[in-house]
Amino acid sequence: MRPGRAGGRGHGRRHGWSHRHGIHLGEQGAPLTLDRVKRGSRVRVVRVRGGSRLIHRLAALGIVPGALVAVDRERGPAVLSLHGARVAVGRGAAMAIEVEETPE
Amino acid sequence: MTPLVAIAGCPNAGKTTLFNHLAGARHTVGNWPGQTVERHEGIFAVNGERFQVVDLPGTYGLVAVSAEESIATGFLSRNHPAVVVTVVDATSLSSGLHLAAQVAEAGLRQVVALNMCDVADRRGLGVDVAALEGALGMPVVPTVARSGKGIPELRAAVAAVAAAGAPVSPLVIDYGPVIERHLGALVEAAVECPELDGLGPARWTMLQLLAGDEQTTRAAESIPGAGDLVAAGRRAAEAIAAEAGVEAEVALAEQRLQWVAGVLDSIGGRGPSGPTWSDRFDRVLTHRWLGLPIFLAVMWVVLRVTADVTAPYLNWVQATISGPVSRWAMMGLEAVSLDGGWVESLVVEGVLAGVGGVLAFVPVLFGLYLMLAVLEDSGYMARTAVVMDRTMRAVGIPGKAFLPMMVGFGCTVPAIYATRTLDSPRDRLLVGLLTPFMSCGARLPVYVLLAGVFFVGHRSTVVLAMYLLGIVVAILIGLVLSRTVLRERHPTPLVMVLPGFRLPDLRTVWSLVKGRTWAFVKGAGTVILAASVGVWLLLAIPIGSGSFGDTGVEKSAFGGTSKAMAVVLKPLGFGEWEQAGALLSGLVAKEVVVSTMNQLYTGERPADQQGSGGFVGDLREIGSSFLGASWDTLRAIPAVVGLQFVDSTGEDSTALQSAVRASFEESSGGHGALAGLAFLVFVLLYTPCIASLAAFRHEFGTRWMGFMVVGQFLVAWLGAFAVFQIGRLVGWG
Repeated sequence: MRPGRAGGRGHGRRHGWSHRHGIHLGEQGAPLTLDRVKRGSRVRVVRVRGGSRLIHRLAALGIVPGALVAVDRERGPAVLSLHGARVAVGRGAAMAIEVEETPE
Repeated sequence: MTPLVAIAGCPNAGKTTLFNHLAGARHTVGNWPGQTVERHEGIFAVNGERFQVVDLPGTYGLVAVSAEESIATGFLSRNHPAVVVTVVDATSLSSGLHLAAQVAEAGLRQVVALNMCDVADRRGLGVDVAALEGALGMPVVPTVARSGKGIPELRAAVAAVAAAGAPVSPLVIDYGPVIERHLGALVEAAVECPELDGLGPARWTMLQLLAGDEQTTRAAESIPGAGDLVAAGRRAAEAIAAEAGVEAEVALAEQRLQWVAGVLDSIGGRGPSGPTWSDRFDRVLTHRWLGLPIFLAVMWVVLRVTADVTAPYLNWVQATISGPVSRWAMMGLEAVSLDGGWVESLVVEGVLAGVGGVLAFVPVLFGLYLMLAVLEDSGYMARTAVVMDRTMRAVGIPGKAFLPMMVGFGCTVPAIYATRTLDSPRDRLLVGLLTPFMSCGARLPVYVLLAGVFFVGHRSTVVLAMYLLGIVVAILIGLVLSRTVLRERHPTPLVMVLPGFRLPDLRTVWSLVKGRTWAFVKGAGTVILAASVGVWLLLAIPIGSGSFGDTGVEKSAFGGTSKAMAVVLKPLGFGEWEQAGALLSGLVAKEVVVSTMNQLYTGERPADQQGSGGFVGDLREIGSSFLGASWDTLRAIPAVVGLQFVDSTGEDSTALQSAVRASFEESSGGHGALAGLAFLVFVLLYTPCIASLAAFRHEFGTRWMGFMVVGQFLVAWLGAFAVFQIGRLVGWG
């Protein structure tokens, strides 16, 4: 949807960060969460950790494992595009959404 | 009985606009019982048959996440509406159909209103309505709520579905082998418990139990014999989670979304669309750097419109009531020989002043509601949460609190009503309790008077300090409240759809403004009127000598109350009865503090403007001054974008100034300036006025109003005490 905006450098930096601080983030490094994704990238939702209220709300908006979302603004709060709709996601919720990078 | 039609839909799907066109003019705005959530109700008729229609709060699904969603889902499961109209935004079909699927699963008779079809068509997202109808198995009516297109067809469809009468078979979605196995066992077990039927089809009730819906669980638990079933549901949910690898509610939602995706596939033809003008516009408005200045500019316009642009009308209302209308009342009383006595005084100074007090807020609220309706209907209001959330959350207040708190610098009454724009009842109450600490315009004359007496060279510093102190106190109180009384057990996550931008629909804006303003007159007007008569009574009742309606202030019940209050105020440095009396009268309205001081210290009454040109002359005066007010309003509009601090309170008489100085020096034992400062802090922090209390009660109920009155008095007392006593210890002033 927004090609060419997701610079690989940014992602590398973030992964590097989580590796360097791996001790604090668990053995294999923390899974990537929505609040740490670079603006302009497209990601796939892997899972949602959190209370059932959050899960219900996100599911109602189509944010479930497997869903593809474009990140228009990364935090404070994040703004996502999916299914042609724009969704604002607060920091707490963004931290609960695990995502993975998708190839462009 | 009139059949009940409920309008359901995701927030911002265009429900309210659709409702307005459906119900037409017969539309009332109220609150849901015990909730600070607006309830819109109306009536419409098709071929002579009448339908009662209720606009439910927006909900993304039938598993309630927020308090507002609980109202919607609770209403659907308890009131069994004859027809549910589910408003689906055609530009964001997926989330709308997700809701429609659940309504159908719950076995409710449903008509889908496919709204904003015009926008969808323009974006190349046009929907094949017949195919969608076939795939869903329920009537689908394309509508454009803003222009009223499709409304007659929607009415007809509702009437047809209601007339069919026969129970509909609930939608059955295949949830896959794992869930179906557990679900089947639960449904079988549910046969043993026929009382459960009241909650809806057994399969639906069991699905809601599996999803962990709190309302359904609580309702089932209250049914004798269903306790085992609830426990079995909990075990089944755990088993599903273990087998499927995700929580049961996620597994359910995934399957439901797949069903929706299947429906969308079967109707086909929805290619991805490029960014629209609305998207591009939105990227600027929610931009990390540009968003904030744009937001502040919009807020500035809101403040100017509510505070300044409406001011000429406010003056016109007051001049009309205190001038011609009061004269007519006196002429009327003269005609029945009741003039000159306490009856005249009651009518003019009690009742008419109270009516004026109510009507004075009408232009202000009208301006506020106009701005709110435009912001809401255009889709910008949803963005304010995004733009301000981070900044405001830093001090523990939701981002949307910015608007009501800023309106509070103009007047507390509209500020309290502006809390309606917040997303949850809890946030509304929290911010409602904080708005009175924003220093409203009516407090300014008091600051100016006392600062002019005690801090001649630093007038503006003292005034600015008061405004800042109000903000600081609001933040501190907010932090305390959100950690104690209003602690969130289940914070509602900030996850919301940002609606597309659109031009506000004039009809919806007008209907909202009218309904809300009228709700104020009905809901808060009576209290303001009663308070005005109450104060008049206090002034009229003599203590000791004197006769009813003709007694000096000191000898009246008002003076007595002031003297009792003065004892409490002694440690603050202003324990004279005149000072207490000024504060007491300040409950009516803060600007009255100055005129009361004038009256008590110098014996001057505000000059009555008693010109009279007869009835026709009066009418002409009302008319020409209305035109004048309109002209002043037009002239005030350019000022909206320019900075212009209004500071024309006029020169206070030197007699008053020296009387005030003498009185404060005496009451404080020689620390006049310190006592004056403490007095200002008290004026800033205690109850702004009766009208604000009436508004607060209207929005949040009597109990919370009591909490606010007592709490504010304590805060004000402690604040003034700290200023006076610590100042004295430090040897300041």
